[in-house]
Amino acid sequence: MGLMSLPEAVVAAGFTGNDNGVRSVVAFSARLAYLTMCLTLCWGIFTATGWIRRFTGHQALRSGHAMLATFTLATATVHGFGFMFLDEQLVVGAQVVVPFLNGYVRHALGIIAFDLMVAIMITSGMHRLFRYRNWLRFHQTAYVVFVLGVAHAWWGAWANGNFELLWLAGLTISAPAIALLAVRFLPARALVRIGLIEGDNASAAPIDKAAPLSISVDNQRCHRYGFCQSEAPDVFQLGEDGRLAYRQSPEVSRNLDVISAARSCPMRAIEIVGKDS
Amino acid sequence: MRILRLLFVIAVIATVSSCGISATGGWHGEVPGEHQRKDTTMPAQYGALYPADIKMLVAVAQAGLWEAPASADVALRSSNPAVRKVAEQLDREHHVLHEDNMAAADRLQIQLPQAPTPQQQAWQDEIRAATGDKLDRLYVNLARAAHGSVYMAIATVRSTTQNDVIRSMAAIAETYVSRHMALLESTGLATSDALAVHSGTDAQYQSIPAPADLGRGIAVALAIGLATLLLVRLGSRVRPAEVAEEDEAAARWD
Repeated sequence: MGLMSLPEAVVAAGFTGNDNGVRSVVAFSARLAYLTMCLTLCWGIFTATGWIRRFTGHQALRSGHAMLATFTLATATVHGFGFMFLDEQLVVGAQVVVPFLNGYVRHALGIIAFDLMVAIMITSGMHRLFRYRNWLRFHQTAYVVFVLGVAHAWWGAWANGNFELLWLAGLTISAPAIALLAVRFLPARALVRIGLIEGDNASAAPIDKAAPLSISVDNQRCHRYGFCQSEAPDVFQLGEDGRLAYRQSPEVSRNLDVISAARSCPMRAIEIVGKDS
Repeated sequence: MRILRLLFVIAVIATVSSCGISATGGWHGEVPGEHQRKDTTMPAQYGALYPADIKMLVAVAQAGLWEAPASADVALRSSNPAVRKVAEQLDREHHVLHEDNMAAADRLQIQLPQAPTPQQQAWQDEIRAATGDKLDRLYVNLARAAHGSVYMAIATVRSTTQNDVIRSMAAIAETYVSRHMALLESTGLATSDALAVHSGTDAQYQSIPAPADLGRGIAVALAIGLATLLLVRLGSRVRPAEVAEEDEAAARWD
């Protein structure tokens, strides 16, 4: 069996001119995908946390994140599907999108990351089909994509004997993303204590989920997306006339949904404050 | 409506992902070697010519382009008499095989590459950098693995080709490569890992940056990471007056 299956995969030492060209293209697109994936993660973390929102505005962060994500997916597509053009049939047919089908764990890491990326991309346009909270949980698998993608890239560079050529650039590009990822999961209070973000930042003052909340909506910012209504329909009501009606002090049992609604607002128009503060 | 939309998306994904599933059918229920003939063929003198036939000529040519100089190098520098003798013979025979191969390519008017692949070039560099016992083992195992994979390409073409020139060339190359494998194994240095190589094979020999460079690189990465966090710090600390201005501006823009 082992011997029987060999000649198909192994045309080995003889690459044709075509293969050399295809390899250059897939290598270049892989490097671009690595770069934009790291930037996408940075912008995504900024969008989620609003750390430098005051610098750039929230909208700029969101659209920057979406643009970078699109570019990552496009270059990753060229990288993956490019292998189909090799005369040496390293990856053929459905092997491009089905992990482990061609027997390489190293390739499978990249393929899983790619499939997840496609799923994230498709669902990012389907806000209205899911509850924001569920949508966000799924969107956060992008962190897994990042880890898989980086592992795939470094392993690939090593396996192709390109480690010495690429390691410095690879480290430099991923350093900001890894630094942000490391502090992303620290609680806001810890970030304030080490002086990374300012104390009076809204995200720094933790909201007591069990205490009464007071809601205010900036009507200048509100663009009537209606996400808040699907999160907490009894608190936020988008009227026929396009105006948003909301209850200023909802009951405590609705707190989780209210927080979720505030978080889902693309315009960051909903502000929540604890009653006693 | 929602369900329709979901179904549509699922249908698109299913269609796209099922394209080419048949390409992975493999060997089951099919004559081995038959797939070589599914590719396009071109009319040529002495019988139909398939891409696999041309690939074999290319593989033999490129094998000669790196194995002959690498063998000559080892024949000069090795301290192991058995390895030296084998390397001498491989060097000599590869020149003869290369001549035959070029003659066959000329008869079929096929252009052959003038240089080995980057991977083969890297093997050659690696062998050139090695000395002593490491040189012997490196050479024997890399050459054995490379011969193993060329041998499989030759064997497939030998049994499937429809072209007379290719068939006789494959017959000649098969005896050469088979003999070379036996010679390399006769040194007693070939390990059971050295069976075949292809471009999916991980590079086992590669240069790694010096520890000092590695340290400097990690320092650079750390500095960049810290700089990013500093930027976040600056970004989250704009004075309240500016914030109000920004917000107003943002509201106007939105």
